[in-house]
Amino acid sequence: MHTEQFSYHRAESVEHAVELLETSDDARILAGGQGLIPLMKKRELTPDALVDITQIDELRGIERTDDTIRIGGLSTHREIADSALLKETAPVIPRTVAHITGGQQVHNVATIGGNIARAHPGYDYEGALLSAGSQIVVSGPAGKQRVPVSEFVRGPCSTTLAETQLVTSIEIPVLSGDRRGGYAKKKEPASGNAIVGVATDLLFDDDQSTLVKSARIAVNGLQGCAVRLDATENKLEGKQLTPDRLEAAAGDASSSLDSSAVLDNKKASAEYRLCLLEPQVQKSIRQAVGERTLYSQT
Amino acid sequence: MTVEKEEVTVTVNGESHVVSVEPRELLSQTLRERMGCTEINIGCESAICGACTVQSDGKSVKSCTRFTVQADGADIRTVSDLADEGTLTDIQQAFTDEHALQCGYCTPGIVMAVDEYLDHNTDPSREEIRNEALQGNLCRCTGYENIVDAVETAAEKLD
Repeated sequence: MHTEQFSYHRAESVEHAVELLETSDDARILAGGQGLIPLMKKRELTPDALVDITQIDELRGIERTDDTIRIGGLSTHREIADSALLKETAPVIPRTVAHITGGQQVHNVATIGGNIARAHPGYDYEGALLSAGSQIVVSGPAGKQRVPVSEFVRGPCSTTLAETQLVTSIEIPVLSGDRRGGYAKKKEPASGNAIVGVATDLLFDDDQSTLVKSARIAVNGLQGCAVRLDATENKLEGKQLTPDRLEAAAGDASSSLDSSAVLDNKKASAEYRLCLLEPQVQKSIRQAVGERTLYSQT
Repeated sequence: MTVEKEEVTVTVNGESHVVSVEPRELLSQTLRERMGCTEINIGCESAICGACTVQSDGKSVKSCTRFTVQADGADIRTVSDLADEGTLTDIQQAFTDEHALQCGYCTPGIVMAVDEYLDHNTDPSREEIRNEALQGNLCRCTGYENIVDAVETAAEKLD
């Protein structure tokens, strides 16, 4: 199955990529191609030109700079899932990536930049990035910009990215303490995408403490954009985590949500998605809590 | 629209080739139609089924979802390159012994994915075999049970 014809350009630097995007009428970025190529085969996208950015070394690598973790836009799912630095400093990200569909063949080449630029509600990354407080770094003719992920994604498969911009990296703030992550997901069986995916980013003082210093929990797949679960977070933050409190917090998950914005389509009805929320929130928090012992309140 | 062809250098099963391709030519097409690698099977054409899996610089990829231009300079291996003059690898032998295929269409892709997976995880649980090693491949005949057996057997032999 062919795609339509297009011209192919290999960018040597971010500036060169932006230049190439500016000089073509309808150009798209080619990174891993795992989202793009199937869409082009189906003629859902028919760009005149593709700008291959995979030779740009500055878009690679995962490193820590002072109080920020920088994930290069070309980092593959495989590199992120295996990153010791991320497991330590922002564990919700690698936990989530392990759930992305497609198998190791896709994880070997698909990139975080491509995934978030696609902004598909079922693609798992958005909730995790939101829970971790991430900024999307984009470059374009006007230079570099940092956009919080909550502003970057406008709706299903829609972002603020202009046609002449590309995602160059993702930045995640470093928090001091014992940071734990979890991700629980109900898959749509055919595609493997999330019907509901819950990302949990919890902060404790140390690996024995059960006092939740901060809780950031976000769900993707439920609405057009990933959303934070404010009511659940409020029930946990600043409190001793007990089994009862965990269940009560999960039970409140939908209370702060606009239920009229819940996706209702052939993949899953809105009612079904809402039913899945509470158990997935529980599972996700439990995964983040890990081995620590939760004592009942007396 | 007329587009310029791109010159691509690619090594396939140890042999270097230079091909001139339209940018839209897929790696699976180049391998099957120009190099006669018909062991690569085309299934879903959309990065789901994994029947077209090959290894590119040691990493398994779905060749139906790569443009050939993306493989410039790459070292590609297909399932034909595994056996040594007719002697099957442990993974291939395990697939035979455990009867891990029926029609066999998905097998070349699965073997290439498993070949990479067992390099990283030499002692996988049955759950890991299903959720990780075989996650990128579909089989519509076997129900996977014998494939999981074969991967387990292969992992034991490789130890």
